[in-house]
Amino acid sequence: MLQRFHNYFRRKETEIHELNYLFWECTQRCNLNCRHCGSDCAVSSAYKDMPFDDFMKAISPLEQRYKRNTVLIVITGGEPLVRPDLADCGRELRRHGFLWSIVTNGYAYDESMHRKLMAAGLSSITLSLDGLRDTHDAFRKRQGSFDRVMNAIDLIANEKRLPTYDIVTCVSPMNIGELAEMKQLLIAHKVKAWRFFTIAPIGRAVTDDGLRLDGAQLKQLMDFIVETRKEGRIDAKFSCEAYLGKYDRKVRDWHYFCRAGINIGSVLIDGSISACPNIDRRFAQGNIYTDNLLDVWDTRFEKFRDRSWTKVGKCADCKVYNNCLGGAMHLHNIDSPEIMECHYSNLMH
Amino acid sequence: MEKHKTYKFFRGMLMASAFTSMMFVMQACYGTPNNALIDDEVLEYTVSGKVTAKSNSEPLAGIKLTIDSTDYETVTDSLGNFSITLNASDYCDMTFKFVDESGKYQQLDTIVPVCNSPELNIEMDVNNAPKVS
Ligand code: SF4
Ligand code: SF4
Repeated sequence: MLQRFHNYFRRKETEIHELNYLFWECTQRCNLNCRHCGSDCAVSSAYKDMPFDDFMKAISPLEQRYKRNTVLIVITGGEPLVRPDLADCGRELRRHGFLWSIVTNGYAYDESMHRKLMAAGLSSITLSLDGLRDTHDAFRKRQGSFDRVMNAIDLIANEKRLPTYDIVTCVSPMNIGELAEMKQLLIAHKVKAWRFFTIAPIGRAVTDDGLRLDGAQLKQLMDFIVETRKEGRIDAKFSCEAYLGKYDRKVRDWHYFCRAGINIGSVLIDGSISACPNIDRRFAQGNIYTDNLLDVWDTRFEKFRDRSWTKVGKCADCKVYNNCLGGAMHLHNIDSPEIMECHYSNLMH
Repeated sequence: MEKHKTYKFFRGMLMASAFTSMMFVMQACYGTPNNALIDDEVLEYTVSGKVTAKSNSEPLAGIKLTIDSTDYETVTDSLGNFSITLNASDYCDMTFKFVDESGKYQQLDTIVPVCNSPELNIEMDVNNAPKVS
């Protein structure tokens, strides 16, 4: 019954497709070289950082259409903290009525950075923690990363002015055995929200096989989240990445819904207009240097809003297709419409 | 877009309801939580303090505090006290403008990073301020 209501809701959301969540890939530079990175960025990227004015010009039509505080600009990279003008960009976004947030590895997030970003009206932050000390440092391929991110976690968990934040953990065979201890650690550091995702076969993870969970490990992860949610000491949830059958509502607050191109858009480093930045970049629908962002949002994105093309391969006869609609957009490749990975099937078998 | 008017109305109601607002919490895998979309107006914080004269530490009444690019403003009471409430996600390294309502002193600008502390005690160098005739 609830699922049917959700499917109706999802259809209506798709019809009106309000742009409420816009990624800005402001840089491809990064201060770390993580093993599982979803992007192919490098310490020194081929692309220069996008000038803030270019981005601001592109999003100014959104200011006319949407009410203040209804569009969140998620600043991502690369690592956004490598941009020296990050706080200035944020302050300017806030002045124009946008909420803004960052996704960071926390390596460069110290007290002075925290003060600067809070003063510029930061409204949300996501920090990555991928295990206990040795595992985290091995993932991030840099000693001292764990201590730095824990310091950043303390700053944000104790910050009363931050409307929302969370810690994300990319779960792999390397850290699945540490989740219980990580939970105690996060609770001891007063963390309120913890989100999990798994490694998609994209970015650097394509060539690193030791990072993917098998069906039994995936089930172990789901059971861990269910149990943690029952305890109620930390708000644990699984990310948006897949329909999960009987686990769907047990590991999240609401049903699975891939909002890419429906409420989520992005401006990528080269100006491409797409949905989530982890989606195959060839799905880009336009470019801010040649197109009007709102025109593109209003009139293109057909493949994102009508997902019937995904009903091929294993999705063709799937009995839960109506709930899932062919899975996450980031698990599709433009060359072949078939989904790369299905958590639902992995959990069932 | 007009044809979706009813749904949009319904959507607004769902968003406002504590029971269904979770439907609108957006969070892409590699993104940040967006509960702020719903809660932003709710999360507020208050900065309060006292304004005194630098020369003799006497409280200054009737001093107007405004915060650039926002509608926030308040006036110190007879004991120099003030209290101002801001949205949590408002930027705050801004200029506080102190203007004596009586017109006795000219405007003085003081940059105060309000987010660093919920309590602010400001000393104003009013004696050095040029008097308004
Ligand atoms: S493409 Fe992936 S990350 Fe983006 S909304 Fe869909 S499931 Fe989430
Ligand atoms: S087979 Fe396709 S439609 Fe079915 S659950 Fe998997 S991804 Fe979703």
